[in-house]
Amino acid sequence: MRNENINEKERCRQLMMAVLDGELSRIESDELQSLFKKYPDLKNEYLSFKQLKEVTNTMAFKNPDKEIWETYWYNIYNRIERGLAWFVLTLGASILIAYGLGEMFADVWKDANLSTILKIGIFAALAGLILLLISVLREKLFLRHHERYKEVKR
Amino acid sequence: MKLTEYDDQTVIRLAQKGNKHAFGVLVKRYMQRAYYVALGFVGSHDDALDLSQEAFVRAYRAIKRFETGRQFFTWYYQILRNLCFNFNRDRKKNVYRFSEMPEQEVLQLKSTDSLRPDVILEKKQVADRLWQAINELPANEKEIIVLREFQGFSYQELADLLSIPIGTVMSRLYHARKHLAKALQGDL
Repeated sequence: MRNENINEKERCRQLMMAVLDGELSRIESDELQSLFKKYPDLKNEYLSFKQLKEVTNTMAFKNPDKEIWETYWYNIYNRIERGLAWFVLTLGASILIAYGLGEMFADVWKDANLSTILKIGIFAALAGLILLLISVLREKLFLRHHERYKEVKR
Repeated sequence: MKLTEYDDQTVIRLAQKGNKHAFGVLVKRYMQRAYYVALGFVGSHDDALDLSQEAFVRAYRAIKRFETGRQFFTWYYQILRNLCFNFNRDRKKNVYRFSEMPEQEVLQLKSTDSLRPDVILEKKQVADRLWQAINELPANEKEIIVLREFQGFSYQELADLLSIPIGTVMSRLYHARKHLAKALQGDL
């Protein structure tokens, strides 16, 4: 019996929302009226919601300047194009850096004037730098694919 | 036939083939709705503009993965929603100085015709308090009340957008309205 009352009250609350939002059918309207007779406390609640609805019905989001709609797509188009430009630039820069590093490695390796210990130091520093770069890139890519919205409540 | 005369599905197929102007047609169809949805989430006009545009950029980059047959806006909404949630999360993390807090008029009266100036002022104050009360709602209640009251989405559209049954739409609206009615007790 108690569970039945809970379900009926929940149903009444749902129908209250539907009547406020104009989503109630004729049959559901009759159902709501009979539930109101059974649960007058919910009818009082409904009246306060009705007052709230009357307030919200008189309000709307403030309109932005009309000009923003004229440039809206243009701004997106530019962003899309710039995204491609950044990608190409990054790709080109990566190739240049890799080529430069390769050349530098070869020069250092061939240079007879540099001591072995100095060569090892230079190679170690560069290897560390490359490993760091790879690690950061991998982390960024991993986050992008797996945990981009990890803190978003669904 | 002009691009603007095609239905969403046809325009999307063209955009998937790399036609930027076809995507532009989609943007123009949904830009206002997108902007107001973002405004509901972040409460700042500039940020709403920026986030809704960024969501379109991301939608364009992912358009090849869009399954034809789905509603475009329902798909786009998920991208926009995530961006806005992340934006709000980051904003909360940043320590704002009081003077930097975004404080803008978000809600306005639909019509002020035939109203006395003192009544207009009073109603504007109620609008501010209403917006403040909406912002204090739990995120899922704020989302649904804004979409319903100020965007006019139907229950079916809300169920599709939020991937919840219609019964849950109604229950969530009930709880949101209950909180709002309590917060605005003196104003109703």
